[in-house]
Amino acid sequence: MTKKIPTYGSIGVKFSGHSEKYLVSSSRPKATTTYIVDVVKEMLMPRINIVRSGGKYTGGMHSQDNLWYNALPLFNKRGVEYDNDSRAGFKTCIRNLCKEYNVGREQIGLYASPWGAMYFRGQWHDISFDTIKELAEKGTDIIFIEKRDVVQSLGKYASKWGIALVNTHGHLSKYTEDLAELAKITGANIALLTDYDIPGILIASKLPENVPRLGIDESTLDYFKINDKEDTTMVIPYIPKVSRIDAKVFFNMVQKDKRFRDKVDTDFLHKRKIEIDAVIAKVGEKKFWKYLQKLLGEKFPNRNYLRVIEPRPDLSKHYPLIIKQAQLFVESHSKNITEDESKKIEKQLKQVKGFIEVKKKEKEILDDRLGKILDEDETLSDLAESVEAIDKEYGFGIADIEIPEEEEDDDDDEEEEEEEAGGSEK
Amino acid sequence: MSESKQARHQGVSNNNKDIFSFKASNMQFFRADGMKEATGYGEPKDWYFVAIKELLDNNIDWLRDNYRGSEHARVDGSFTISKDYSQLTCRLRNSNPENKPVKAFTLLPNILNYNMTFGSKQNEYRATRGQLGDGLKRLIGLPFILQNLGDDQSAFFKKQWDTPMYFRANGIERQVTVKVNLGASQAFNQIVESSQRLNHTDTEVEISFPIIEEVRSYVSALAIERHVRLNTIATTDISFNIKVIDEYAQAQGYKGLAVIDQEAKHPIPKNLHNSTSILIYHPVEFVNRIESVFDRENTSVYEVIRKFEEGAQMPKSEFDKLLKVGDTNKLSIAEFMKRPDYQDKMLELYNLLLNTSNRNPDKISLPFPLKDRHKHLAERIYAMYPPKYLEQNPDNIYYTIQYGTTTQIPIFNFAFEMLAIPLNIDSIREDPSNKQSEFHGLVNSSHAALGTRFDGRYFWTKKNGYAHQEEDIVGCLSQFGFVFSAYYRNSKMKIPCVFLGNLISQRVDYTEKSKAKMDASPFLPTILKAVRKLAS
Repeated sequence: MTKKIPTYGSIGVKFSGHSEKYLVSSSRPKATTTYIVDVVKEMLMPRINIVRSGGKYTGGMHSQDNLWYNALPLFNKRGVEYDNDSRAGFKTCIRNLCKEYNVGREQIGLYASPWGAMYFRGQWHDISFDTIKELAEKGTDIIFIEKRDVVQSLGKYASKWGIALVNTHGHLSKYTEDLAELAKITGANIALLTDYDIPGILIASKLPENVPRLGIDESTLDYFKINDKEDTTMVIPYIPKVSRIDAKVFFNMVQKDKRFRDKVDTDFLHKRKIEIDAVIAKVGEKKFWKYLQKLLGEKFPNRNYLRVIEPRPDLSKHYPLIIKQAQLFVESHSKNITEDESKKIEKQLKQVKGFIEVKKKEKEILDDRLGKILDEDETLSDLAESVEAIDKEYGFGIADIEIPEEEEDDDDDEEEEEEEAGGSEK
Repeated sequence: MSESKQARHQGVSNNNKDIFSFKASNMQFFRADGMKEATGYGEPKDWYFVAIKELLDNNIDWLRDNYRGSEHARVDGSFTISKDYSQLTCRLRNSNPENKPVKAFTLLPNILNYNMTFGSKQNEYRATRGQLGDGLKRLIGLPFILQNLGDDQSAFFKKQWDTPMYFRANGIERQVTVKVNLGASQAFNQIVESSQRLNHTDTEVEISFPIIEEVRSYVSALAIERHVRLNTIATTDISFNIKVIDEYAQAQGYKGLAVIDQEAKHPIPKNLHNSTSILIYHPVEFVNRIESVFDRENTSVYEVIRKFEEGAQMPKSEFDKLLKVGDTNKLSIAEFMKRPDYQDKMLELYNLLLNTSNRNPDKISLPFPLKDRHKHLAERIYAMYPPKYLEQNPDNIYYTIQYGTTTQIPIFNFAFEMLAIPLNIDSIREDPSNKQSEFHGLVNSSHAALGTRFDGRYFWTKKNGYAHQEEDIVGCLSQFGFVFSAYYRNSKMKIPCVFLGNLISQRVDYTEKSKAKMDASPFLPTILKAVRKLAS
C-alpha cells in the first residue's frame, strides 16, 4: 500500500474552528485522484516492464534527485500536491516500486548513491550494484563497521593482514547486505563492529547469528579494563528522538541471541552509550586493532588467502636484463620516430570546430598515422628480423606464440548498433 | 522408507480420527446467569447473535476440516422471523457431496451431555472459529432460557420449548428436544432418529428460538443480515447463500427478504490448520490435552501425540523408546495414566516434543491467498452499505497485512489484516459534518455478537517524542487521524472510512467461553503496526 488515505483538507473541505462550520472548495481537488506514487509509476513502469520481460533498459541513467526534477512538470500536469519535503517520499516510492517488482534501481537506469564503502589495501571502493561482485572477492575477512573514521583509522592495520573494512554508514543498506551475503558465499569471514548502543545492537541483529559481533560490548570493556560506566570521557547519554524498540522486546532479543547474551547490559543501553571512537581514544588504534584481530582469529581459525595473494604474479621484474632493455628500446625508439606526427595531432585536437567521433578518431591516429610510421620504420624492421633469425637458429618458438586479439568495447558497439538502427544524427 | 516417513504413514487413519475430550460441567446451559457467564453478554438481545455465529462457525470449521482443496464448498440457509414476530428459525446447511461421516451428530448423546464438555476441538489450538460441544448445548438451552427469562430463580418446573432442534447429516434426520427440571438439576434429551432417509447428504442444523418482547426492536432482519454478512465477509473459500426472511414485514406488504449471496473466490487451502505445535501449549495444557481424552481405553498415547506437528514428524520408535514399550500406538491413555512413572514420562514427552520443535516457525498459513484479497473483502463490504456510500474505485481501497509471533511459550504465529474504504468523497463534500468511521473486528474471520475492538494497552511514542497510550484499536485509529466522533474534526484529519480488522491466529485466549471477548495482549504491537501502516 503506497497511497495515503485522503484528509478533509486534500478533498477540499476546510473546517473553521467548529466542525459544524465548514467550507467546501468549488471543485474537487485533483490531488485526490493522482498521487506522487502514480507519477513514479508512470515514469518507471515502462522501464520495469522491459527488465521484467527479460530485456535490458538502455535509456539514460539518472540519479533519484534528477528523476525528481523530471517529475515536477508531471506533478503540475496531473495536479499532484507536493513540496520539497515530498522528495523523501518520492524516493521511498521508487524503492518500494523496485522492491515490489524485484528489480534493482540500476537495472532501470537509476543511480543510487553508494551507501557504503570498502577500504582495502589503501584504497576506498564505493559499494554499489555494479561493484558488489568484485568487492565480495576482496579480503580474507571483511569487517563491517558503522563509522567511516573508524574504518579510516583501522584500515592500515587491517590491510597489512589482507583484511577489508566496510563502512556501513549506520544500518546496513541493501547493497551492503548483499555484499556481506555474497562475500560469505565466496569464502570470506564476515564480522561486525558497532557502537555499544541500542542502534548498534539492532544493526547486528539484522545479520544472521553466525556473523560475529566483535564489539563494542561488556567483553570489550572488560578486556581493556575500562569498564567504568561513570567515566564521562567515554560514556555518553543516549537520548533517541524516537524510541527504537520496546524495552521488553529489546531485552528478549538480547537474551535470545548468543552474540549479545551476557555481553550486553540492556539497562545501561536504555540511557547511555559508548561509541567505538571513544574506546579507540582510550586504548589507541594499534591496541584496539590487535584486540579485533585476536577475536577474528578465535571466531575464524582459518582463512582463504587466495582472496588476497595472487599465486601466479607478474614475473616481468625478473626477466633477463637485455630482454627488459629491448622492450624499453622499442618503446623509446617508437616515441622518438612518432614525436613530430604526435605534435601535429596534438595541435589539431586542441582546436576542433564542431565535434569529432572519438572512437573513429582514435583508431585513425593509432593505425593510420602513428602506427603507419612504426610499420615503415627500418630500425624496428631490422630488429624484428634479427630476433626472428635468432629464434629460428635456436628454435625458441617465439614466432609460434599467438598474439591474443584485443577485446572490443561492448558498450561502444551497442551504441554503434543503436545508431545504425535508429539512424544517424549527423 | 525412512522411519519418519514410516511414522507418517503408520496410523494415517488414526490421525484423521477425531479424539473427543471432556470436562465436568452443570446445568448452567439452562439458566440466564449461565448464559451471561458463558457469553460475556448480559443482555438477551445479544444471545441470538451468539447463536447465529455459533451455527455459522460450526459449518465453516467442518467444511475446512473435511473439504480441504475443494472449490465447491458451500453453506446455504435461512433465518426466518415468523409472521407474528414470535419466533426465529435458523436453518443452516453445508455441502457434503462425498457423504463424509459427521461424527458429532452420531455422538449427540455425548455432545449434549450437560454434565461435561465433550468435543473434538477441546484443548486443541488451531486457527478455527468455533468449539463444537458446549456451543451446541448453549444453542439447545437458549430457547428454554429465553422462554423463562426473569423466572428462573424460583419454580422447579418451567415452560418447556417443544420445537425440536434438527440435525440432518449423511441422509439421516435426528430430532432433539430437551426437558429441563432446574430444581432437580436434570435435563433429559429426547433424541429421535427419523426412519425416513433424506434425499441429500448435506449437513443441516435447524433450530428455533422464541423472540421475546424485550428484544423485538433489536433482533430484526436488518441486524441479522448485518451479523451474517460480517460473519462471512472474510471467509472467501466457501460460497454462501443465506436468506434472511422477515415474514412479519412481508405480512405488512414489504419485501422482507435479504439474500446474502457470496461466491467462493478460491478453494479451501490444502494446508489449513493440519496440526498444532507443542510450542503453543503450556505444560499444563499439554497434560490436559492427554488426560481429557474421553475414550481413554481406546485411544492410544501415540494417537494424541501425532496430533502435534512435532509428534507427526518424529519416528514412532522415539516414543516407543521413551515410554519403554514395543508400540506406543498400542499403549492406551488409560494404561499409561496408571503407570507409576506416568508423571515423569509426561514431562519427558513434553520436553522431547519441545526439543524437536522449530522455535522460529514460518509465518502463519493463511486461509486465503493475498492476491486480490482487498478486492474480495471490499466487494463484500460494499454489499453491506447503500450504493455509493463508499468510494467504489479499487484504487481507493487500502489494505495491509502484518505478521507476528510470540517470543515465549506459548509460541505461535498470527497475522492481522486490515482494510479501509473511505466513504464516498462527493458525499463527504456535500455534508462533512456528521459522517464518521466505523470499525468491524473479526477473529479468525468470525464476528462476535458485538464485534471486537481488540482491547488492550496500546503504547507508542509519537514523532515529537511523547509517549501515547490507547485502550483499543478505535482509540489508536483516532489518534492516527481518523474520525470516529460526530463532534470533533479538522481539515488535517483523514476522511471517514469503514475499517475491517481480522486477526488470524493459531491461538486466541478468550476471557469467556463463547469466544466473544479475547485477551488481545500478544497481538497489540502487530495490530498497532497495521494501524500505522494504514495511517501513514
